[in-house]
Amino acid sequence: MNIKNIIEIVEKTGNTLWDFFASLKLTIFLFTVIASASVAGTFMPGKIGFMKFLQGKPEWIIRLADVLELHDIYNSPWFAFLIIMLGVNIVCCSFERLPSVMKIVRKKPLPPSGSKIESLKNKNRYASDMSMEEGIYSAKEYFKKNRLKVYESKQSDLYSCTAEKGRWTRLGVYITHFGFLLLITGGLIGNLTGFTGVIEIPENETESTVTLFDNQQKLDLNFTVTCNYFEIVKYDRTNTPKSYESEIIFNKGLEDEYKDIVRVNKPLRFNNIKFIQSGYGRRLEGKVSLSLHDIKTDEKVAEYKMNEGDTVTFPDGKTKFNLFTFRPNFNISRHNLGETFLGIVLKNKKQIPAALPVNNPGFDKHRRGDFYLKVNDFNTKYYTSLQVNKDQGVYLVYSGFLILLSGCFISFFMNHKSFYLVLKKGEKDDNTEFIFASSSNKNKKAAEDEVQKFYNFITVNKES
Amino acid sequence: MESNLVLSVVTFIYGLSALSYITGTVFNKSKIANFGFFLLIAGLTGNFAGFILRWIESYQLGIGRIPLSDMYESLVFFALSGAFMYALVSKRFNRPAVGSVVVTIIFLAMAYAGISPSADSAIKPLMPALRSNWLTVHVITCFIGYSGFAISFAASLIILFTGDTDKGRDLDELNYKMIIYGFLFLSLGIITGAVWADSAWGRYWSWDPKETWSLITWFVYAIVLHARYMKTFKRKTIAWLSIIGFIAVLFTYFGVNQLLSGLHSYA
Repeated sequence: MNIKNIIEIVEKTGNTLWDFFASLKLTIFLFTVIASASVAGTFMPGKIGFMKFLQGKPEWIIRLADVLELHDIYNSPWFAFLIIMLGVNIVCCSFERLPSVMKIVRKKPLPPSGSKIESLKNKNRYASDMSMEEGIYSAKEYFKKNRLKVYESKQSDLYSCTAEKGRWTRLGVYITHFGFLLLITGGLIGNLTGFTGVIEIPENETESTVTLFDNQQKLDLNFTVTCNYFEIVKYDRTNTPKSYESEIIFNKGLEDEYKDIVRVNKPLRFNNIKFIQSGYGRRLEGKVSLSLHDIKTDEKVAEYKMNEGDTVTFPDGKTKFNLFTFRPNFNISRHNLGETFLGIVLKNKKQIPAALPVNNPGFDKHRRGDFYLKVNDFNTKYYTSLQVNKDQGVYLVYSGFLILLSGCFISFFMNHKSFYLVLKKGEKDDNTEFIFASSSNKNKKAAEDEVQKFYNFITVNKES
Repeated sequence: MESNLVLSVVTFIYGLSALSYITGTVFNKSKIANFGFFLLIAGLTGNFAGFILRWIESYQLGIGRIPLSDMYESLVFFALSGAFMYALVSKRFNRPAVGSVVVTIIFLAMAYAGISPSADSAIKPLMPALRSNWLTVHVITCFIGYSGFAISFAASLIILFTGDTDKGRDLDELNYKMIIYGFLFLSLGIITGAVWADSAWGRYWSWDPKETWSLITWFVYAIVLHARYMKTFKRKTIAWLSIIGFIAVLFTYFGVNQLLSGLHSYA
């Protein structure tokens, strides 16, 4: 095999590859696959549900699901790969077709030849008693009124011109595609370099780490975030929340401090990171005081002051109680218990969950232990919950949006419209024959209408 | 509330209009179909009045918001935009058969709004995340898009029923026109939704089921638009694709709420 052969083979495979990537069939194939994968993704139950579903399934299915990241299709590498392929496909399609379209867009139109105008289907003739000069004047009036640009040629008894507009709108499709490319590029950049998480700050406290949504890991922000106050605004005379807001101070060293209010639908931005008021909650402040009662006599046998996470041992010496958490609104089988402390009672290596609703002091009797617990005194404070988001691709995505929309508008509703006119000396002296036709790259009906409009214009002009 | 009464009457008028269109089509009587158009305009007027009335009533209740935020209100708006859009195009594409399908869809939307338990007609205050001007733009653009797709669906059905004849050329044009309107407005709807999500939830896209399904719909119609450039796709294939697109619209609208959960679960 000599070099010439190798070059030939390389060229051949190159061409085949190019044809493959520049084909509209690939576009439709990718659209279909991405849409199908998205459909599948909406029916996936999330990581925990998916793991339950996989329990007891054959090993290879579990491994396949793991490799394909089926629990999180939209963030899987192969989904990103499909979208990148779509991008490559669009780029290749554009390189394949854009040069010839650019040639047309750059071309200066010529006045029509006699045979060109004869070949157009919607041509019309009109014998006018205007002189040639009057005819030209009248036609130019029409072109001016309709903002058509005129390219003309004039001889003693023959005038011809092409008048047109919207030649550049042939690029509409490419504008749309460029917008789409920007959009997916911005999306990928955001996905690779950004993060999303949540930060919860009680009133008058300061935080500096974000809990990431993806893996629940902590991320340090390099600056501190303080919540001055948190407030829920209600609708007049009702208890329905209308909005909620927090006053936040960002601090990055002595010089760099920024204070503002974040509320629902009005995020804040600091250091290229966005903070969104996404929720709120209430937390225990200080210790809660609990009392332990004998289930038979209702007599108080002990009193405890506990933090969340603390464990105490009951007077019998073998039962332990671990206070787990405080919930401002706890539901048990659709029944709302309101403010409730949750914990676990450990007895003889058995773990029994315990719910201690503040407004229902006898509730713990249902647990049927030797003792029951009652909540006596505690304080809570609000914390604000802010979603934290860093995404440097967002500006690309937004410009992609705008360009995509304008591209769609141009390619759907605008067209390249040409109007051809030839004026000849008529049979009688001082008479002029009009021959005219129109064409459009998209809208044939509009081209026909244009011919009629022109006819109406010159005949009316003649009468006046 | 008066608006509910008005809208019930409107449902009835739309029903009669659909019936006239169908009768006119089946018996080939253009006069009856024309009466259907007259009823459609009457229904449209009442629909608009009901929409405005509900808006006013929300102010009287001290809530004060444009009625575009739950299942009931979105169905009423869908009927309004669908009827308006069809009234606009039906002069040029005078096909009572298409009217039969479109007005039946509009009637069904209104009837569903009136009957279904998931479409509660009480005016409720907005939850905090929905209090945004983006809500208005987002819902209006989406539903104009859906209306376009509904009309294209009707045209496609008739194309498939009547066969691939030369006479069907204007139906083909109607189908395409409505798809490009629908596509542009769906794009606008998705984009305004993304911008809004960015300000309300901090992310312009989070693969919420409703978002994803609107994107799936967008892809289906993108396939239609690209398939037109390929000679291998015939008019009937395009019609089928457009029907699949409308099924995706319906799933985005109803199926997602019933079967999947996510950020849009309240509407």
